[in-house]
Amino acid sequence: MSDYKVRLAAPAARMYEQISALAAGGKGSQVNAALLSLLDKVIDEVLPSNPTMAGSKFFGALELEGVYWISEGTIHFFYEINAKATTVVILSILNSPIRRDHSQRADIICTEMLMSGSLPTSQLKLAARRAVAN
Amino acid sequence: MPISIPNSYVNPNVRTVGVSKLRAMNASQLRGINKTLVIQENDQPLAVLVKYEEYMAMQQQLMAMLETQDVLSDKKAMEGILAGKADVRDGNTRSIEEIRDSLRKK
Repeated sequence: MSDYKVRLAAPAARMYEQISALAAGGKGSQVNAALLSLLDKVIDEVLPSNPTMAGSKFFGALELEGVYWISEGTIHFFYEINAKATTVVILSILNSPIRRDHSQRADIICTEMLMSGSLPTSQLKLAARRAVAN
Repeated sequence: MPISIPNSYVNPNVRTVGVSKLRAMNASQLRGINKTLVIQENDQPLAVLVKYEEYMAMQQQLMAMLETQDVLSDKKAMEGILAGKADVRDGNTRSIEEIRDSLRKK
C-alpha cells in the first residue's frame, strides 16, 4: 500500500508553526517539544500509513461530511482524505486539555438503549442545547 | 403494552428465537447467526442478543455521533475545520516538508 502524502491547510499549519516556535525555546519549551514530537509522530507515521483506519469519521452532520478526527493526548487532528491522490489534508489541529469521555458515554448510551429498547435522547439533547448556546 | 408486530417485519436483520431454542444452541451455532436475535417467551419479546462485533460497531457509531456533537458545539474547532475546508477548495494547502523548510529558514 502506498504511503499517503500529508498536506496542511492554513489553520493546521499555523498551529504546527506555533508549537514548533514554542518548542524551540522559551518558557515551557519542554512541554511544547513533547507536543511537537506528538504532532510529528501523527504526521510522519500514523496518517501516511493508513489514514482511514487511524481516525474516526464524523457522523450525522453535513458540515463535517468526509472529515475524520484523531486524538493523541490533548491534540486533536481534523483531516480529509483524497484516496485518488493518496493525500491527507490536515484541516485543523486543536490543542484542547478537555478530556473527552466518549467511550464511556457511548457505553452508557448503548446499555441504556439495550435496557430500554429505545434511543436515550437525554445525552443527545444536552449536546444539542450546548450547540445552540454557543 | 405487548408488542404484536414480529420484529422481523420491522427489520429483516432481526430474527426472533424462543428461550428453549436458544438454550439448545451451542457457541458455533450462535457464531453462525448473522442476525440480531430477539429472545421470546410465550411469543413475547424478552431480551435482545446482539453480536459482539455489532455491539462494538454501535459503540463506534455512537462515539462518532458524540464527537460530532461536541465539535459542532465547539466554536473554535468548527472555525478551524471550516477554514481548512475552504483552503482545500481553493487549493491553498502546503506540504509538511514545505512548512518544515520554512521553519528551518527562520
